Amino acid sequence: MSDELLIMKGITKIYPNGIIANNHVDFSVKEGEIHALMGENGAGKSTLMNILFGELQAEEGDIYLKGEKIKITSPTEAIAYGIGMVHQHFMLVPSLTVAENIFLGMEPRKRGLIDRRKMLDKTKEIAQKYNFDIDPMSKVSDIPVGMKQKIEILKSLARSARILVLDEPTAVLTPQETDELFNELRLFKESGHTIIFISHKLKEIKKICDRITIMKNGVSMGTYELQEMDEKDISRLMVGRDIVSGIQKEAAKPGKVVLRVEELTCSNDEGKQTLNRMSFTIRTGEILGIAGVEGNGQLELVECITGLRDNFHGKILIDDKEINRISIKNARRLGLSHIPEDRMTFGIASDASVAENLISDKLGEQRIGIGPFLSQRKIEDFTDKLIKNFQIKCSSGKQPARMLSGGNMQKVVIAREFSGNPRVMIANQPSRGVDVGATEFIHKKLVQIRDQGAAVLLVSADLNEVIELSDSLIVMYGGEIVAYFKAAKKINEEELGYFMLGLKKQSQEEVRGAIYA
Amino acid sequence: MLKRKEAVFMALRTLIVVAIAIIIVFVIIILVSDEPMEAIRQFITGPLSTRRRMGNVVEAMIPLTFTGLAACIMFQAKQFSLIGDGAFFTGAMTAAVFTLNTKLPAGLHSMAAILLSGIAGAVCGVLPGYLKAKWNTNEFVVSMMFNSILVYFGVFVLLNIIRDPNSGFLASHIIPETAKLGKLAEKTNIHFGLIISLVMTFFVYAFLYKTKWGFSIRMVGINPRFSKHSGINTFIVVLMCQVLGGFVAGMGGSVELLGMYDRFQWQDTPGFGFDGMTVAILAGNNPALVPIGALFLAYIRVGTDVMARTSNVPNEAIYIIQGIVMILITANAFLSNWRHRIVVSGAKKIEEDGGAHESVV
Repeated sequence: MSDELLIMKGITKIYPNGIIANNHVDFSVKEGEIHALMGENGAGKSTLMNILFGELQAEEGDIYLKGEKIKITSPTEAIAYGIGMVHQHFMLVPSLTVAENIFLGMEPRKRGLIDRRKMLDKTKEIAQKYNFDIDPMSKVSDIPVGMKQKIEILKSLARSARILVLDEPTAVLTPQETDELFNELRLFKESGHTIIFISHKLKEIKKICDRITIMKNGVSMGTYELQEMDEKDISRLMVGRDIVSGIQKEAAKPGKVVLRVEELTCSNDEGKQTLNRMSFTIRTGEILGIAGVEGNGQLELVECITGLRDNFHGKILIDDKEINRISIKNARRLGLSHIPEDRMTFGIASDASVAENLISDKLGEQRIGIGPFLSQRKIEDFTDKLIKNFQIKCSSGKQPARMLSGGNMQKVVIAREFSGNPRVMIANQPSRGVDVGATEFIHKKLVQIRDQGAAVLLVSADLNEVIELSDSLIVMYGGEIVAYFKAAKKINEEELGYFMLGLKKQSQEEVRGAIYA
Repeated sequence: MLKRKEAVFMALRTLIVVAIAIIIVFVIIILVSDEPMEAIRQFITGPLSTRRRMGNVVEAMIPLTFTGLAACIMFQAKQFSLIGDGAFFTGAMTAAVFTLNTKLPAGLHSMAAILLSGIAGAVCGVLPGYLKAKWNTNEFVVSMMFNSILVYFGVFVLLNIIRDPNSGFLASHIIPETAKLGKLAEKTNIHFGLIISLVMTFFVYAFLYKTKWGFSIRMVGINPRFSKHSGINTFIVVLMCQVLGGFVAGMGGSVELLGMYDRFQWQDTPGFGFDGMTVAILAGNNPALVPIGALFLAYIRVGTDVMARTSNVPNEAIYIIQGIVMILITANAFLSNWRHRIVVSGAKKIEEDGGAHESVV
């Protein structure tokens, strides 16, 4: 086709750990379209786009822009070709202002010095042009996530990007912010920009994109007109089967209270109060979900409960035993388990083997050896069983964990935490960055331990996940519980959004429902 | 398959680094020496030319093995502590004080001295270990400064407690025969410490790879926050690895003294602690390979000594080799393209064979 603006042909990328992330991938976009790039986690979407943006070098393959073969070896070159990218994890300098971030490296100058006035004017001008409501003077560290994303987009536009790559832009946004973003994207499209939209959310793609390229296991499954596709077609191409929507579980049969949090107040490392007198309980056989926009105290709450943070006031009790001042080892002995949000930092020792990752919390147990000694045979038996039960794809327990895909690493974390006989399971974003199949598996396991009598605290930014999986639900905003829903299933997403954004708040009376006396 | 290729690569890489270092030294020899070929010949074959010199190599290997093992324990927990150097010195000093003031039967005397020196070395490790664990101070800086304190304390002890006033130079009284380590080979000074060092190699290896404590040390080295999350007491681990490192280095100090010397006469550290770090780096922090790394370093050390005596190339050449080896082995990017090609070809082969492969984001 001659009207393709950008063509990537036969791209192959192999990572230092031997993983083939892209295998002869063909990809192309037309001028002025919004093109969805979709696939499960680990399908190679981000890799392909990082190659386009010059951050990674492909082993094989060519890139053509307007029919001409080009070579991109660095982001600087990509920008020169009019390609801009907004990463999943923002690339901003927190201590600089919005304007400084936008013009970083291309500051307007006067007599060799930075011309601040001009920088501000230009920022306002460009924000106005695209109808972005931002304050160029505020520091990036002070602004909310949604705003940061806008600044990332403006950064690309200020460098006159014509092709804009957005890597999972809605992952961090509330439903309302997502709508706003979509309006902006439509505006870009009208003004002739081309947008590549990476996502794995079917609904969003249907809503805004023109064409779609689907990737699976590092291979392109083809490019299609979205109008001709329904959601089932796409999911079949992506996963190779129909997704079972909805989580199969029976009604909860809660027993007695296991985890009790009383009047928890906490400040973060910068001294800002992040938790304000939070109180709630979880009973055996119950999943309590926590919904909320990220950064409203969820992470601090989890860190307090799991012993990773100790500068807090209030009480945390498991079976009426206070765990505030006991070691993580002893808290784990009481049955505390934790699936951490930040997998690579807390969940996995990537240079250690899969087996070593699976036994790291069981050093006091006879299951892996007698006394101070490790038993190779016992460890092998134990880990082989876990690898099988949790369907971890690896060559053996001896394989270094870093060689596994994101989803399989998460399964290692899950397998470890679930095999410690948990009474209280703190699951923070358990399915983040994990493909559909693994997500389903993780959900099943969570329901399974609930049915075995564990108390589960589920924190998730994925609204569908918290609503579907939780029995009851609390919403956090500004470090407080602003809403409690006894039956999570009955909540409507729109209304939840209002609570999450702090536009609505339940009465003290209603919120106190979270405490089971 | 891929994993084994990577292991072969790491071994080859170490050899290439060593070769580069030696070639650079050859170039320097050619530039400064009047008889470069003779100097190089002495450097390479000198250590093998007489029985005495071969003995020298093995003798030099013994203390290097101890300090290499000490460095391994600390490096495995990613603690770059120099306390091995101070602990080695203090260990020797402790052994001198102990043996000069006690009377025990032969054998038992030396064993008790070695054990006590180990404990003294362990005590040396407490301070940098505790400060790191408690307040996250830099163990490198603290141990380096603490080493000076230990040396001056040792000199104080030498001057005021164990000095032999009748000796013509600054040295302790003569160490009793009952405490000395026996010789293993005729016409050399190779002593019983060689066997102790090999036994310790086995123990340190078993400790790091077969016990739960060693496991904790390795996990803290790989990812401290992960270890904390898993319930491993990182405080104890950070403290313990320097204490144990100090213990092994302290033992090494006494073994060196009781095996090689008649009197304690050091007024500065003999530097084995630093050389132990080179050995550990050469061995890839694997205790089982430490004796080999120590043997290599001992060989080129004797080689440069022989060269210095027979030509006009000073034996400081050894430090050039050590420095280059340290820099290149710890430089991750060195030969990384080659490694990447191995990985790429390996991955393609797996793909062609139709084996399942993993993919990442």
